[in-house]
Amino acid sequence: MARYRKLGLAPVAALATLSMMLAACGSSTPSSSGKLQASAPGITATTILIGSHQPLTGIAAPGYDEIAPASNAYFQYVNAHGGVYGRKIIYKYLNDQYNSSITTTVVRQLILQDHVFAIFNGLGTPTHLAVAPFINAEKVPDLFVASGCACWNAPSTWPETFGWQINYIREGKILGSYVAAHFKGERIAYFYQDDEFGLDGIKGLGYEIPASQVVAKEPYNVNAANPAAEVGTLTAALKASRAQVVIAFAVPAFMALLRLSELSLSYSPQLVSSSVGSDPITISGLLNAYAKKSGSFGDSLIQGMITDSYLPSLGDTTNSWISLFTKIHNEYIPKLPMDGNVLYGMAAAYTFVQAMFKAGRNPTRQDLVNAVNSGLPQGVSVAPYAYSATDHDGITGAYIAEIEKGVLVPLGPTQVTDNTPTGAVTTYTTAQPAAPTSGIP
Amino acid sequence: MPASSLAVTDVVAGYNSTPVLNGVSITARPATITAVLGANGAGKTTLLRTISGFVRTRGGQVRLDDVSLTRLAPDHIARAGVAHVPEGQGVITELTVEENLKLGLLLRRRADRAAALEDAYRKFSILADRRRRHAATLSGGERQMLVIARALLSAPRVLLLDEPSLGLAPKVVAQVMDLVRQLRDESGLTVLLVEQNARSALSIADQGVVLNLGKVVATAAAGELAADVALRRHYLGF
Amino acid sequence: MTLARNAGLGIIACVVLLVLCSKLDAYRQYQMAQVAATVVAVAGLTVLIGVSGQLSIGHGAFMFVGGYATALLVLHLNWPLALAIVASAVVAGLAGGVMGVAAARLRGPYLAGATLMLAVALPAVAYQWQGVFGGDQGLDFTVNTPGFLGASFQLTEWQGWVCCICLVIVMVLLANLLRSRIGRSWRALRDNETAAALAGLNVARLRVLAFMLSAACAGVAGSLLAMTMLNVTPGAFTLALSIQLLTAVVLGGLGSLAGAVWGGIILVLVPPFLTDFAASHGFSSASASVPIAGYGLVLIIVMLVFPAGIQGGVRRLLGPVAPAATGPVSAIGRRLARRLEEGSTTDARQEGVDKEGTRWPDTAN
Ligand SMILES: Nc1ncnc2c1ncn2[C@@H]1O[C@H](COP(=O)(O)OP(=O)(O)OP(=O)(O)O)[C@@H](O)[C@H]1O
Ligand SMILES: [Mg+2]
Repeated sequence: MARYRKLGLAPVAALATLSMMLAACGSSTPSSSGKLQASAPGITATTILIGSHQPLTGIAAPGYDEIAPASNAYFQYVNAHGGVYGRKIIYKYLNDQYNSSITTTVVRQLILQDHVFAIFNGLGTPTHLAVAPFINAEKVPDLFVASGCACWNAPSTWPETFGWQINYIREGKILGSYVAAHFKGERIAYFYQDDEFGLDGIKGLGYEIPASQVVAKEPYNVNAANPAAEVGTLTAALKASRAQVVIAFAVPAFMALLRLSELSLSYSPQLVSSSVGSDPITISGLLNAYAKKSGSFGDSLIQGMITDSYLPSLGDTTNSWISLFTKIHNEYIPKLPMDGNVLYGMAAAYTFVQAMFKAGRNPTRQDLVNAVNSGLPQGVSVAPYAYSATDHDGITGAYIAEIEKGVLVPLGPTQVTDNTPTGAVTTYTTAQPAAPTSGIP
Repeated sequence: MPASSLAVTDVVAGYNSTPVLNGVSITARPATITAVLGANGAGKTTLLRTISGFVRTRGGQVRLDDVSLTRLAPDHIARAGVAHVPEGQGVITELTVEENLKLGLLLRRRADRAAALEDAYRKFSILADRRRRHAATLSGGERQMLVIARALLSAPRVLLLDEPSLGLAPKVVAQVMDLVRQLRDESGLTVLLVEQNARSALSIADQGVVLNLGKVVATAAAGELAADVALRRHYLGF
Repeated sequence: MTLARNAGLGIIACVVLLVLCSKLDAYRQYQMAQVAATVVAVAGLTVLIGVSGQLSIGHGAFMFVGGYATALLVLHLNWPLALAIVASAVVAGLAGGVMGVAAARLRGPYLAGATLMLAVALPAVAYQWQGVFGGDQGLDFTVNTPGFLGASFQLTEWQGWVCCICLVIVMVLLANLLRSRIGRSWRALRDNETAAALAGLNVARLRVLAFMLSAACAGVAGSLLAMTMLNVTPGAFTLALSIQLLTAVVLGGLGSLAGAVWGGIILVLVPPFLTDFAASHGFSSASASVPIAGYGLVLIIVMLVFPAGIQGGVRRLLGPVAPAATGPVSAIGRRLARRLEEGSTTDARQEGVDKEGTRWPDTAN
């Protein structure tokens, strides 16, 4: 595991913003004008080829299969509006079925055969862990892994790899500090996935919640032969512990099963969920599907659930980012639901375009890595990025929200924190910058 | 090599719950032919399968000279020197004629194999002409010949023949019977010969045994049996 | 003699494959390594099913054993690759022996069920002892190109070489084995178990031996795949893999080593080809089911056109019709194909039966 530096975030954010402003205004780098060249593998005078591995079919596909099409929609939007320095982004994402052996093969295809410029937003912790050593050995930029594993932040072993979404330790700390403050003295239980995802999450929770309050810890096996039975047993244990608050680090399918088990056991603690398992549209859809119900059944079950989010709420129609992405959604991928997965895909794609612009007119692969290493300005996320030469974590904070009538309603301001046991969870007061009117960074 | 005797004593055996053989005793003296006769379903095939280990004995004993074969596995019994030519299809159609014969040679010493094979081809010239063909392409008679030849290649001490004449032309049946007799006389082979054609079986046999409903109803010298008109009428139908 | 002849052909094949591998780009080398590794597994399975007549639905489990054995040996004990591959074969072979002993008591659906259970249960081991097997994320390890090849020698080329060399070794050994007494005995007991036992064959032992051998091949395959991908994860050895191996066996032609080559090629190369084909013909990569449906279609068409498997079809095309006039190259190819193929490894098949136009396999009896 990588070592994390403890650092004050505000100065970093300020510095990052400043350096970006300088880069944007100055624009006097030698490559800022002149002919567009094939400056690196995957880059021609007219195109930028990037690749990804995504679960388009299989166990992880429901919901997650929208992410890459959403990213692609954003890239198409950029392409239609001048591209990146005139180059069009070609996004080739291959189906790995969330199976790391297939990931291994498709990523080799992308790098060795298709010669992509960079890998973007490869999805999944186990899947991407299987290829990160190879990607780094090939010195291919590995930007914005779609996983909150803290493991992506390892600049000395994996200099090419960068996380993007808030990592699970930070997320655990932010949820934990909220619960510790608002449910003082109540009985708390954890329900979590028995791997890096869940373990990182409860690690973060443990930094904030007094151990004396925790009455049960129930890990589930994501590969369980009979998930419903497994969750049923665990829910019974939760109920037996008489926990008043259950905090879940679970993927959507297991989140839905947990909720249904609670219902059948008439057990109704306050449910708190990580952002992974709390996209209202995804969860209510799953609830309806599992219970063979329709309409508002699913929504009614997640009403009042507490969660966190590092992207603006889809319910906030006044937010400039939401309106930008909704516009692009309606134009390019109207058949997909406008849900958290689509928002995620577009937001990650936006960040990638930010990095590409910063890398210069005729970038090499190293230029792209350097661009992120020197920090990216906050944009689509509610909190700034941690990016630096020694820190490859992405978004550093999130806000707590409650699900009401199927949308996230913020319960307070954005909180930021670091990965350490003692680093404080602090309020981030700087307002999120508005989306550029062109929609392009 | 001295000839061997086969002794079946009070054998009880069968399939599932009901025994087919109810205390069968037969002694085949060294270098003799014992004809085992009886109606369809009498238990003749079952008897041979019991001797060669495919049907478990539930009582009684099978001995080859001093060695007990009772409850041994089929391949061990084969190694002990009992060769069984089963009723119907005993050839392995997947293999060529020669490959079939080579299976029989597995029990022989390496040094003897080539000579034994040539000897078999001399005895069964039909097979020699077809040695590279697949057994699947042989006629019924040729197949029967092949199985007998394969059994003999293992240099057995006891040969169990289950209706070797089935489907063979009368002329070939005569040849087979001649061969069996020759094997007894020249090689000292002890033969248990199951036959529907009682007359031709008894003509070469030293001893005859009549089975009925899983029991031995008569044991006698072949000539005596053939002369016993009542028995012949009752059980053998000639 | 045949051993020498097979070995000679093996050396030629080896040289051709290595030269071919050197000419390819890195990704093709990687694919070549994958194909070679897969063919090793399919060849072992086709011997088990097509020659010894036993079914295993869970052969991925033995690949799992081989793959993890290699990863652990290289990672913790720093074993040289060649040794690790051999050790993986031995360990997987022993696992196969255990399965084979159980299999000897089981028939038909029960045997299928038992092997299926193995395929499902074994990867769970990786989750049970996460400390040793690394859970979902498995184990990463590295292999290096040997120094004598020079610093600029590509890793993917080296991986391709190792896989191709192992493939040729396994194929030569299997081809010889199938021509030997043991191969004959397997075919005998598959065809007519009673007659085989009457001929003095130890049926149970032969069965177990087939299982061990086949599992050892799967172990080598798992080991090769691991050293090609540089990691092992439970996800690499799912039940789906076992089923794919079965598919490849049937596609290639039951019991045919040459068929195993076809099966392996289809298994590895067709899905990515279809993905690219779908993408370049206007299906967006979001319609992920197009390549999958296409793959199913390919399988159906192959089975309709070649009911006896691809090698069965090739044999018909090359067999009775092909005159000697097709030249030395195709003659060598034909010889190679025949050499690799268990059923026709005897001179009898080539000289006697083919001449007489007898079709094979025969379903009589
Ligand atoms: N595999 C089996 N399972 C159950 N019963 C069997 C089996 N084989 C034979 N039998 C029964 O055992 C009895 C004896 O059969 P067996 O084959 O020994 O007769 P046989 O004397 O050889 O007759 P045939 O002259 O018709 O060949 C018959 O009643 C038969 O139905
Ligand atoms: Mg009979």
